[in-house]
Amino acid sequence: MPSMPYQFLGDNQRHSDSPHPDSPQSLEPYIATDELKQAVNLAIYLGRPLLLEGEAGCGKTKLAKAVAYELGLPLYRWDVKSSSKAQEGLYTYDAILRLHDVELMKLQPPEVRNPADAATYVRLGELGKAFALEDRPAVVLIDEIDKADIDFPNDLLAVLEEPCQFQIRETGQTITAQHKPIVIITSNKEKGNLPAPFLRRCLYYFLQFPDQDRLKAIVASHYQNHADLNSPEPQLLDTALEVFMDLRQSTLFKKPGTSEFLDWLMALTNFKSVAYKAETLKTAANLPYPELLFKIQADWKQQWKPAL
Amino acid sequence: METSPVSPEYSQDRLLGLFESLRQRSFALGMEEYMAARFLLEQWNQGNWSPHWPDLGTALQLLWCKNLSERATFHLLWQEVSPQIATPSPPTSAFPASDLALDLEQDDRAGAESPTQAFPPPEPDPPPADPQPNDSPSTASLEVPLETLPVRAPYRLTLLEDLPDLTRYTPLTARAMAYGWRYLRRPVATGPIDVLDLEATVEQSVRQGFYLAPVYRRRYQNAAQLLLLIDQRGSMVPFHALTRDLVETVTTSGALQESQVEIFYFQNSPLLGLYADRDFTTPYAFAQVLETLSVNVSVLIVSDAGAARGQRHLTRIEQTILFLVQILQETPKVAWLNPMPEYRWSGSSAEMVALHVPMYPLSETGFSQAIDTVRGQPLAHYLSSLL
Repeated sequence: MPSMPYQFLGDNQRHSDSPHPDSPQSLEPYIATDELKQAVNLAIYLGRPLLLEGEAGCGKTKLAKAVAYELGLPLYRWDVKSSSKAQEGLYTYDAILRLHDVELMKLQPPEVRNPADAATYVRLGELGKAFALEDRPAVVLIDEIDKADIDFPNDLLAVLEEPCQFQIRETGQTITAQHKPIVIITSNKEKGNLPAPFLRRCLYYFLQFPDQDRLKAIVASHYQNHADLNSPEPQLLDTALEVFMDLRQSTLFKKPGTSEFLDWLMALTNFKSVAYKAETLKTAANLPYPELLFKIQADWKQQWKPAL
Repeated sequence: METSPVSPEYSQDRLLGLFESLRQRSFALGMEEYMAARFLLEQWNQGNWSPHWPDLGTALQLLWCKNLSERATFHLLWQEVSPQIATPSPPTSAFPASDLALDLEQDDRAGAESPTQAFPPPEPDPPPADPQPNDSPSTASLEVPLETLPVRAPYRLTLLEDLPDLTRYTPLTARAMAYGWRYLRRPVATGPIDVLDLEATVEQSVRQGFYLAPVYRRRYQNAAQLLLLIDQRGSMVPFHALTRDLVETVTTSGALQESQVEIFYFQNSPLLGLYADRDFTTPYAFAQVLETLSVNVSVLIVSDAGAARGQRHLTRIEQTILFLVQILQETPKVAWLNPMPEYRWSGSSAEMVALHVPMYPLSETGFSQAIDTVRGQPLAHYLSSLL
């Protein structure tokens, strides 16, 4: 356990004096609940990865960026695909390029890469880069881990446990982490439950959809950052919030999330030259810009009443 | 009780008790999780706690609970145990500073709010008041008559252990079923040709003498096919919840697509009729279903085979064997899942049926052995020495 761990306060004004060059340069304002901040701090203290689950579009990915920006740590983002293997996060060895360079050597002397040296063809993955850092830990975001094969999380386990090290087979080099990285994992639970040994290792947090007050704060900070756009008027904002919350209460197959609400509000305020009127929104039979809210045909049919 | 300090050994004992009761409720927790919790408890009791961390209950919840239903269970248990584990007073000493300078953090701590107690301790009981006799009835001043409070035993919290399990019989939970279904894989290289085959590339370059292009191979896809035959009604009525879970998990657990699984229901004998739904409204002839079988299809039969009633009917045994023989002619990957435990099979028709087909109880080990059998990797089954 580290002696003095980093602390995430969720304060958008807070920024480290000497950020790492790989740290996010610009601020993306993120309003986190107190429980979420505490969960992040506990994960940092115990040295365990934090597994985030929740609806789509509720800010799971943005949290990692906010943490990295505030603490001045480099952010390495690993977007997991269905064909991802755990090895790819550690390092990739480009054997084909090496073979290609050997062939090229028959024609001309080597310019940039020397095929005799295996180390030039080894490229560290996100976890590998995090382990290779010397002065500070990194924030590693493993996005949508449930997309990959079921063996993928278990393969990661061995690397994330003490000691945090792996060996590059082709060069024989062992990379050990000087500072344990802060690992944030997001999951959508697409393919069912994650394996039990992996779940055991992580701290688990479920991101709820924010309540009205927090949504207002999120909207306020969003428009603070984008000064070139007109911010919505208070009346329109209140009506839009009401309508949106009612929509979430109704029976939809896919409930719209925070990012959809922000897009919808932006469309209402800025898409046409004049902002949408709050009274029209309240009394309209059909919601404006349904393409931003309803992403499934069944929802569209349910909510869209054809004009007679 | 909450004002007296709790000794460290006592609180660690209670933490161990809480950990064990969670494990009994099928929480997947190991020794590392317990050691981490003990470490947190020590830090909490010594006061090395940062105000930016959650309180002890929330911290244990983050560490031990991996979904919302586990959280609810933990919350119930924690409410009983928390006064005995953690001193409820908030940590007073600030976290010791070290050389890693985060100056902003020092300023923030001064203005940070005290951590809100998520799990407040229970209120103390009011002491029973003695009845005061009204000695002077002639006094003008009205005295409020004191009433007696019922005397009861002191409020002592104990951890509830060995709760009688009045819930349904679940020898195999839905989660275990979902894990088991994932092992029913038959990887066949039928996907798109986009996986780099490094060895083949190197081999080809060596053979040719020069390197031209990389060699690709096909992606592996799960080509397993499953025929699930489920006994319903009659003696299988108590197991309807189990069979319903089986059917739900086989398509939703992500291992098999709906096109790879066929599910049919029958009552007592499949030869009498197979139905596509649980209410027996869409019949299929057994011969029709036999036609769809091939060597690649795995067959799982879920039935008690007479073990529930415990009787041995020769006609039922004969019918079952007849139907098994017809299936075994098409595919060797057949297994029988019996929801009754093994000690109930002897003396019933199930014992005779088990001689002809690998029969497994519907528990975690039995289910995984059945999956191994229908995948094509059978283990030696002790009852079927004839196989």
